[in-house]
Amino acid sequence: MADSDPRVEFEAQVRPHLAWLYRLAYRFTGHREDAEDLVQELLVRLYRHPSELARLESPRPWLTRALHNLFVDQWRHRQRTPLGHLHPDPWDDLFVDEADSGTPEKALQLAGVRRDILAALYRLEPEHRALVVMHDMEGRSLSELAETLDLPLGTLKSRLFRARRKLRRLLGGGNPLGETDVIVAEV
Amino acid sequence: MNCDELLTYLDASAPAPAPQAALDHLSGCPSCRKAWRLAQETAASLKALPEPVVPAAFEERVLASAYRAAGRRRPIRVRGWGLALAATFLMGIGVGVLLEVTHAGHRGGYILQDGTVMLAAGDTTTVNIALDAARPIQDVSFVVDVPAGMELAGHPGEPQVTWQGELRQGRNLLGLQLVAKAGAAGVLQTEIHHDGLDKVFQVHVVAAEESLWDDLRRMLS
Repeated sequence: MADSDPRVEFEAQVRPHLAWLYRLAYRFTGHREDAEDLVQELLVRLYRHPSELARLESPRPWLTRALHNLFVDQWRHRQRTPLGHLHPDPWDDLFVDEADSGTPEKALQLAGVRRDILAALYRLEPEHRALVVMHDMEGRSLSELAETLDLPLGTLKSRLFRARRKLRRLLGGGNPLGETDVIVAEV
Repeated sequence: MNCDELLTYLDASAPAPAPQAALDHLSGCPSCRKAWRLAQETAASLKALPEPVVPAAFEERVLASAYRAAGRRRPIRVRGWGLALAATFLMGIGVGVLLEVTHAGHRGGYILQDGTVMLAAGDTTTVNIALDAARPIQDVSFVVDVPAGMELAGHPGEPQVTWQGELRQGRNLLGLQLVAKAGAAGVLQTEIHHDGLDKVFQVHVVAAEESLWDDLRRMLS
C-alpha cells in the first residue's frame, strides 16, 4: 500500500528543499561530490528520525542549522582523517562556462580573481567559511543567522571578523607594519 | 585613524561605506587603499558568484542512498588475519582485507585465534585495517563506530567518527588509533560507502587491565 510507505511522506517533506540544500552544501564544500555526500548524510539522519522534520512548520532554518553543523563536524573530522584527502580546485564547476566559451580577456581576469577568492575561502576554518557563504555570499543578516544557527550574535561577529581578516591576508591585502588581532566583543 | 585601526574597521564592517576618518587615512596610504579595494572586490565577487547547478538525478540518488542506509542488512563479520570477503569486489576493493595491530605502548596488542583483538588498557594501540583496492577509488565514506569505553585518538568522547577519503590503487592502511579503558570490550565497526555500495567490517576488541596484561602476554605468545 503506497499510503503506508514511509518514503512517500518523507519525500513529500524533503523534496521541496533538496535543490536548495545542494546549493548551500556546494557553497560550503566547494565540490559537487562533497556537496552531494553532505546532503545524502543529512537525509540518512532525517530518514532515521522522521519526526524531526514533520513537526516543523518552516523547516528551512532547521535544515540550515542541521546542514551547517554536519558540514562543520565532517570537515573537522576530515582534517584528522587517517587516510588524508586530496582535493581538486574548489568550486571548479562554477567556471565551466567561462572556461569553455572563449570569453574576452576581461572576463577571464574576473574569473581569475574569483578563483583566487574562492581558493582563499576554501582555506578558512569550516565554521568561518560557512558564515562567509551565508552572510557575504547569500546576503543573510547576522541577526537572522544568529537565530538560525542558535549562536550568540557576538560569536558570529567575531567569526566574521576573523574570516575576513584571514581572507584579506590570504589574498595579499595585509598591513606591512603588522596588525593586532582584535576580537569583536560579545553582544 | 592609523593603518591598524583602518584594517580592523575594514574586517569588522566591510563592505559598509567608509566613514570620513577612514577616507582621510585612505587618501594618504597606498597600502590601505589596496586592502580596501581588495575587500570591495572580494565582497562583490562573493555576491556575484553563479548559482551552483544541481546535477542531474541528484534527488533520486540521495534519496535512494538514504533508504539504502536505513535498510542496511546485518553487517558481514571479519575475523582475524587475511580473511577474504567475497562481496568486496563489488566496491572495487579487492579481497585480502586483513587486520594488523601495532602499538605505541610497551605492552602491544594481540589478535586471538577467533579474531578478537586484545589491547592493553591505557595504551594507544593502532589497529590497521588493510584495504586492497584494484583501482583508485574516489569519494569513499568511512564511518567508524567505537565500542563503549574506547575512543579514537584525537576524537575524545566521540562514539562515531566519519570522514570522506579516497583509496589509492593497491594497499591502503586505515590506521585506527584506539585508546581503551580497562575492561572495555565491544565491536569496532568500520563502514565503507562508495558509489551506492556499503561494506561493514566488524572486529571484536577487548582491553585487558594492566595487572592482567603480563599474564595474558605469556599465555598468548
